Amino acid sequence: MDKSITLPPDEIFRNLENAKRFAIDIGGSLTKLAYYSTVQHKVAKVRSFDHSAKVSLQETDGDPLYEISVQEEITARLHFIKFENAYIETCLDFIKDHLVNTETKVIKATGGGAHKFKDLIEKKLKLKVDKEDEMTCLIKGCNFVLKNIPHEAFVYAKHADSEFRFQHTHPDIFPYLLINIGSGVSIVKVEAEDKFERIGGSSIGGGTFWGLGALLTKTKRFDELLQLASKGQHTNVDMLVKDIYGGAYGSLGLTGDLIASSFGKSATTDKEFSKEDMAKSLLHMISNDIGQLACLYAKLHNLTRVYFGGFFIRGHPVTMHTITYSINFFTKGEVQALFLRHEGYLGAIGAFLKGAEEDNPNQYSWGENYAGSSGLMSVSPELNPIQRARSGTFDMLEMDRLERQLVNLPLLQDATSYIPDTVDLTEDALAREYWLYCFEEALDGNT
Amino acid sequence: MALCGVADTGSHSMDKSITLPPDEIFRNLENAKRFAIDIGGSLTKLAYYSTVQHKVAKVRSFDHSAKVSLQETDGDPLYEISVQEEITARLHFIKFENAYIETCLDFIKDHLVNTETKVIKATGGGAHKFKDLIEKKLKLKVDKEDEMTCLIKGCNFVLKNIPHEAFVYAKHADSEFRFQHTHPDIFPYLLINIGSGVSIVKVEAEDKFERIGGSSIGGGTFWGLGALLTKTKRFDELLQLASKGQHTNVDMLVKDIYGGAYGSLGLTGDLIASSFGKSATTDKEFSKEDMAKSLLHMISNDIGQLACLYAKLHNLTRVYFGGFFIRGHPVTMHTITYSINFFTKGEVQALFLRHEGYLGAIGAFLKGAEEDNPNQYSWGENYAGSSGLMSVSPELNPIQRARSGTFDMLEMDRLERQLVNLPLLQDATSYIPDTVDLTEDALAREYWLYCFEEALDGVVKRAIASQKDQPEAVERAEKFRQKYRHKLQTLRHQPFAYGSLTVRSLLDTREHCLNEFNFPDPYSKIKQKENDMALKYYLKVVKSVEELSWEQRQFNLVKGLLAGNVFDWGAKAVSDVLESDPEFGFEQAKQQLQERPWLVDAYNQWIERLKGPPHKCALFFVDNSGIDIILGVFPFIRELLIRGTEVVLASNSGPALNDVTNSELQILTERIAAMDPVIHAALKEDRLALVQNGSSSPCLDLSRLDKVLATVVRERGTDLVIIEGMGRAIHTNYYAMLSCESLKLAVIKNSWLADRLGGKIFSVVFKYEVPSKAQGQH
Repeated sequence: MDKSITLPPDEIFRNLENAKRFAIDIGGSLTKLAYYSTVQHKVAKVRSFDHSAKVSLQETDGDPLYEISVQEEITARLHFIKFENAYIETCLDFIKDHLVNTETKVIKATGGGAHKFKDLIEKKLKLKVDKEDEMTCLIKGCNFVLKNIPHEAFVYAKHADSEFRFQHTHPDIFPYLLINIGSGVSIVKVEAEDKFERIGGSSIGGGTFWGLGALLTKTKRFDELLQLASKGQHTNVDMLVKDIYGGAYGSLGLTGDLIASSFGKSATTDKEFSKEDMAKSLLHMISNDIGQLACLYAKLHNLTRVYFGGFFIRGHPVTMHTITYSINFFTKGEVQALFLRHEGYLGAIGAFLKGAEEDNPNQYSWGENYAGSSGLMSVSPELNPIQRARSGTFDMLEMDRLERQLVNLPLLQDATSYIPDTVDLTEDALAREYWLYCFEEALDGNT
Repeated sequence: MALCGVADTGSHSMDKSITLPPDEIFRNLENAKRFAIDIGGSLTKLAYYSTVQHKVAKVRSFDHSAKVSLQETDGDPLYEISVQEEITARLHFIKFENAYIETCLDFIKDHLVNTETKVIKATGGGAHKFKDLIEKKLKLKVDKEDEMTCLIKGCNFVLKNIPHEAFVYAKHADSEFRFQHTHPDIFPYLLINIGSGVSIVKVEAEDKFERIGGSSIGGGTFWGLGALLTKTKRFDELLQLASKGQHTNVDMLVKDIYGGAYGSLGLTGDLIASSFGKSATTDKEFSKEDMAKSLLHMISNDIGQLACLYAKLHNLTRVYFGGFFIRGHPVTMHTITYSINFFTKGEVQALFLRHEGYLGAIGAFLKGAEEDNPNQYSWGENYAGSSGLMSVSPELNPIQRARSGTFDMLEMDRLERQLVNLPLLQDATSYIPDTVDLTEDALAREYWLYCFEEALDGVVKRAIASQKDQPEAVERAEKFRQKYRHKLQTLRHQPFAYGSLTVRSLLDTREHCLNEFNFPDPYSKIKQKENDMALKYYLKVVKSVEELSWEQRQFNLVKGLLAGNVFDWGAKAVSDVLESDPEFGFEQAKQQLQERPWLVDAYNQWIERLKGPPHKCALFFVDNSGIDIILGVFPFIRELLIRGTEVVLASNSGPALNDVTNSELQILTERIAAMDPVIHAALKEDRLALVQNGSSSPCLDLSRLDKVLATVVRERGTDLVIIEGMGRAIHTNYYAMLSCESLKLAVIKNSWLADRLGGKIFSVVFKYEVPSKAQGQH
């Protein structure tokens, strides 16, 4: 194994000592590990002094009102770690060495790679691999993040001031459509916590982009293909409406720049096409197709919330952009393409939840722990070179189980449109500048 | 004149020459007007309207007014027959490769003489490119028409006017092409046009359509990506490659991911999870065939799914596919059909069109001919002048292709009369005229093709004999023989060439071919002779029947009707007897008939019915001239008239075999009325009416009848339909369900058919049907 973990692994696999309930989701290239652990915190407790011996109020004047003591408290936390499959053996070794206090006997597993790595996991961790249905895990995980993480979903707008426009989570997340673009495409309608149906799908998905792209450009890596695509001009390869009609086809409402035929120019033109142009054409072809299918299924089933996931989308601004464009085009803006911050973790979260059902995780409220989570696009080489160098390709999510179950104030006029924050600093660049500066300035001070 | 004169075009090096004499292709150019042209990516479709001069046999009653008594006319023939020239309208459509376009334009220019045409309607992507060439060559102004509008107009036209236009493709079935019977109401439907890209069009009415969707993944994508992946530049070759490939080598299947089916999601193991998924991670060479197949599946499945979703969203069940991706390619018809079946679980069928390639040209033509109101007429496909489905497919039809190059033709005749449904059909949408579909019944097909081939010599002889005075008739008859034999050969290899192959279509094709070579009515003189002879016995027959008791009389009338029907030159067994033994008489015919119980025998029910109240009005579809109509039908309807039932006699508008035509029947009826006061009175009081059925076929399609007939039927409250003869009651309509009482009767004059029905030659079918009460109330 030529790759080593550059970050001390105890910064990644945190709180392993008390870990229990493991789950693992092994995809085509990435592994997602989940576990539940308890964390010992120091908490400041306040306690009123015992004033009963004193007779009058007057007499207590000089004493402090209550006493403060620091105590240890144990809270529950969910850990999710995502890393490249290449690290899987190293990671399993590390986990084995640090797993001491656990009575865990099984590890829930899902994803296409679960089968392949079953023996390795069982040998290394001495845990029995218990396979869970992939789609069920995916949906369970999706429901969980939508319910528990505010700002989980976002709209992607390439040319806007802020590319990511986060959606405020509605209390009622159902029904929704999940378009999972892996090798192929699955279109799943989710109506309730345990009620979902795969209503459609397509064989033209991420695997098609990758496979056809590799054949056309001799470029083998998916990321590189996307890189190529982002530099290409699809109009060199595609036949546009104007290539056929000299301009728009007005009576049918088709603009001149609309793609009439993907790769149409390569049918009759006898020339070499650049790798970039072909990759771009392919990307448009696939994104547009998926977009149209998504719209048609959304219309047929009367759904307006459409989430996209799968490796084709995951952390790739290029594909988020083309999918968003396509959805806008086909629904004339009536439906927005929604993406999820923690989309890569859905399977692992779902598998974990399946294993933790006796703990009733759905009865609690959970909160994202900002300190222990890497954040969106942390491993994107373009967006975040520093972070990537620091943590390799490891991405983490931690969620704290909250003491109390949280609900809406019943007096809100409209819970679905309620936004707690007055200013959204992602959208207000000036304000963002100021407050980031302000918090940085205040960092030295200790009061 | 052959159009091979490439040298004439001088500088142009056109290496392809037309191997068929072009006057067999661009026919009737002399009177051509209203041109339209649709130039696609590789094929040009030319349309024009022309008039055709036919010879038709006209009958005219001699002027007997000078003669005093009936007696005196005894020696004279009843009526005179004259051959006249008649002009009918015909639409010509020719499809050829763009490479021939200049040569073709030259030929047209040279032959276009009598036209006052100033413009040519043009559509299709290539119209722009060839505009100058067309204007220069033809001296016609090119007038561009909207492509989609033309396509839809053409589609509406063929769906309305060509029975069996649409078909379902079933690769592994006995007959790959299953033709659909045209519904009277063709709207709404979905048209998926798969050209370079895909257009999904919802058509709601003649002039109301909307492009509701589309996709950039179409024929151009198959072609373009295919060319990049396989270095194969020709579309046909790519399809060839695809038909030999294994997509499972390139695609990632569900079982490749999950080791088997993904049961809980209802996905089988063999389902394609990811097109080209294996080439993403496998580092090996893939074969051209496998990649082409994978690409074909990817595109067909995608279009199939989109089509289904749009059909569902808009609540449409009729989905037609067209465009160059589909056109004449069994491979893509199969994959699209498979995909539609998969996605709709069989609820929607993929439909294809026989003349799909012509839609744009037809539509452009119709746009230019709007002042002629072409939609007001009914049109019929001319089998003699049309190439038939897949004529230019190199795989299916090497002979035809070698003969005519890549030229494909469609000719449609404007029918004299507007055709509509018989209002008495129980369910017009499910009515199928033909009893046996020979495309599906291989044994029957073999027999009938053999039978028609065997009979060909006799037909040729008959045709020559009918024009003894014209020496060149021999040559024309020989041309007819060649043409019809060639049609039969084509049909042997491609039974689907003109829609469902039926005995009716074989008969009609023969009539079209005879007309083509100016044998409009080879039986006219025989009919005349027989009519004359039979008339002499009319009174005798009527008198002999009148003497019988009621019961005996009814039986005798039915027997007479059946015996008369034995006289049928269309049936080979009978023509043999008639030619060898001219004395074969009416009485002998009666003896030939099968004894009761007949093969199908509802006579007792019929008699019971006759004991009840009379019918209000009987519609009688008559068959042969001579003994049949005069000694069989007239005495029978005479009894009906006496009972108080009005009678409408429906006969052919044009000649077919020895069937009595409407104009002959007019004369015959007058003559009978002159002898018989019952008929005379009925005519005078309009209780007996003669109408034409709008057809020139020995068979009967109750969904395409003269509009006047339909009106008469409705106005008179017709409650009994009688259909007589093998062609009309056995080959067609045997299973037709009517909303009133019906009588179907025939003598089976063909031992093979008799055998098939479980009887012997001269077996009798007497089928009397009463619709069930529940249906009658509707």
